[in-house]
Amino acid sequence: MPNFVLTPSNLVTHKSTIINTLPELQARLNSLHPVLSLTLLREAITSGLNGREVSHASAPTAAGVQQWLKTVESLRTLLATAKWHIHQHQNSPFITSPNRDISIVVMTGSSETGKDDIDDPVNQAEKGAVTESFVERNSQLELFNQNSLSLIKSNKQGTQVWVLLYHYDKMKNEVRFELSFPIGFHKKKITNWGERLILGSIPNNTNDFKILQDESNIPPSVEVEPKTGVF
Amino acid sequence: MSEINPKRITFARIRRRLTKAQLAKELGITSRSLTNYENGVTAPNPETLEKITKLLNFPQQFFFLDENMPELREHTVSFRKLSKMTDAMKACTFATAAIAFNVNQWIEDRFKLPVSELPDLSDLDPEDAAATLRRAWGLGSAPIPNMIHLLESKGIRVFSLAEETRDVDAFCTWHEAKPFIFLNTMKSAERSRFDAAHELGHLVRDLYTMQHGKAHGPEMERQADAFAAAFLMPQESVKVNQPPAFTLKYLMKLKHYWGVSLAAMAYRFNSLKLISEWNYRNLCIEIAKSGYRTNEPEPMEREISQLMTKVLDILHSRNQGRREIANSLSISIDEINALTFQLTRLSVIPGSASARSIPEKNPPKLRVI
Repeated sequence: MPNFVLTPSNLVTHKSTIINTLPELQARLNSLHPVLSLTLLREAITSGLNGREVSHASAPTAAGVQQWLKTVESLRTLLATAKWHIHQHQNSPFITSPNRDISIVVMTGSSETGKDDIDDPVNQAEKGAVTESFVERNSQLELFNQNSLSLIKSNKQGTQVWVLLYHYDKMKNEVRFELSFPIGFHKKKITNWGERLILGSIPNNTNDFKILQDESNIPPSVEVEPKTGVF
Repeated sequence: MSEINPKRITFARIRRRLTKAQLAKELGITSRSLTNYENGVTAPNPETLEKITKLLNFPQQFFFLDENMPELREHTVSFRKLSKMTDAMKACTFATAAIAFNVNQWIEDRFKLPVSELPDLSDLDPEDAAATLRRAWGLGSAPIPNMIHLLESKGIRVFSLAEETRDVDAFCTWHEAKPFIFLNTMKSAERSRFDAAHELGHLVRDLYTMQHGKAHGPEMERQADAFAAAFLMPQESVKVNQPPAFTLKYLMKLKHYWGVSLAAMAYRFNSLKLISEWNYRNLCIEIAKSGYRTNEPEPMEREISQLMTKVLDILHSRNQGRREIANSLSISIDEINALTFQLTRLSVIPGSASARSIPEKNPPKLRVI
C-alpha cells in the first residue's frame, strides 16, 4: 500500500503569477485601477523610508513601526486625492477604490518580498480574523473565476483585497516591494498569492552613492596688507 | 572740547532702539528736554550727558565729534523681512551699518584690502546670473569652499549683525561705491552661507534698484533665493548627482557636499523639477517634524572672516586690537565685538552668554561614584 503524505489544502503548490517587467506592470496596474502606477506606489514606499529616520533615543523597533505608519499614511493620502475611500476594519487600515472593486492594505513581508525566487514571500507579522476573512473571500473569487476582477467589475459583487507588501533589507539597506493578491492563509500568515506584481527596490545605502566630484575650488585668499608708514 | 553734536544723541538713541519717551524716562527728564537736546536747541548738562553715555553705551567723546554718522536710505538696503520690521528696528539696523562703514574706513586707512569688482548681471535671470558669475570667477561646478572668504576676496566687506538686531535677516547695501553684506551669524552656518549667496545675488542683479533707491519687492527676494541656490548648487552638477531615492539620508550626504541646509538641498531639487511634488512635500514635512529647520542636523563648521582675522592678527602683532579701533572711532568696544560676532576666532558679545550655546570641545567628564 502506497504511503500518502497529507498536506493542508492551502499549501498545495500554487505558484503565483509573476509580473515584473515594466510595460506589463504598468498595464496590469492600470487594469486594476487607472490611478495605480509604479510611480505612485514608489512614492508611498519612499515616504515610508523617510519614516525610518529615528534617533538614538527611539525604541529599537521605532524605525520599522514608523516606516509602516508612514507608508500607510502616504499610500492612503495619495489615493484619497483620487477619490479612493479611507476606512478601517477592526483597526486595520484599508484604502478602497471609488467603485469598491479593489482594496489595498499595507504589510511588511519576508525576505522573499520583491524577488522572483523559488519561494514566494509570506507576510512578516501574524495576522488575525480580518486578514483571514479577506484572503478567504479573495480565494473564493479566484476559485470561481480566474479573472475575478473582471467578474467583480461586471457584477459589482465583492472587493478584491490586494497587499502592498514591502521588505526592508538591512543587509543591503534597501526596500523591496510588490503589490500582490493573497489567496492562501495558514497559521496566521498569508502563504499563497494568486498574482504578484514585483515592483522593484529603492536603495537606502548612502555608502553606495558616490558623488561625481568636480575639480575642487581653491579656497580664496583675501589679501590684507598693512599700509606703509601708518603704524 | 567743542560743542555736543545733537545728531549724535539721536544716532546713539536709535542705535539702542529707544524712543525719545523711553530715553527721557530713563534719564529722569521730559521728552521735551530730550527733543531740545536732539535738535540742538539746548545741550545736556554734564550730569545728564554722563547718564546718556552710560545708558546708551557710547563714550562721551562720541557726542562731541562734528562729523555726522553715515546715513542709509531705506531703499538702498536689501531687507528680506522689511515689511515685518518695526521702524525702530530698521533705524537701529541702519545705525549698525553706519558704524560698520566707519570701522571699515578705519581699516582701509591702515590696510590695503581687495577692491570690489562685481559685474552687473541685472539682465540675466537668477540661474544664468549664477552660472555667469561662477564662470567669471573661475569657480567651475564644484562647491564653494567658503562663501565669506570668496566675498571678501572680491572686495565685499562682511560684517555680523549686532546683538540688538538678531531678528533681522541678512542684508546688503552699497556705501561710497563699496558693497557691504551683513550676516545674521546667530543662524546656522548653512543658513549664513545661503544668506551670503542671497545677498551676493542682490549685489550683482539689483545694482540699479539699490543704487537708485527703488523699492524692494517679494519677487526680488524670490529671485535672490533662486540665485543663491543656483550659485551654491550649480544646475548641471546637481542633475548629475541625483540620489537613487529622494530620502533624508541621501539628501544629508548631498547637503554636506554642497555646504547647504537639508531644506535648501530639497528646495533645489524641487526648483529643478527633479523631484515629484509629493516627494518634496513629504521631505518638507519630515524636515520640519524633525526640527531640522531650526536645528540643522550634522551642522557644518561656521565660516569666519579671513579679512577681519588677518586685520586683527596684524594689529595684535603691533600690540593693538579691537580696543584701539573702538577708541579711535569713539565707540564702545562692544560695537566692534558685535560687528565681528562669530566672524573671527575670538568672538565676544556682552551679556549674551545665554543667547547661544557654544559647543564645548571638552565637555566635563562625569563618573559614577
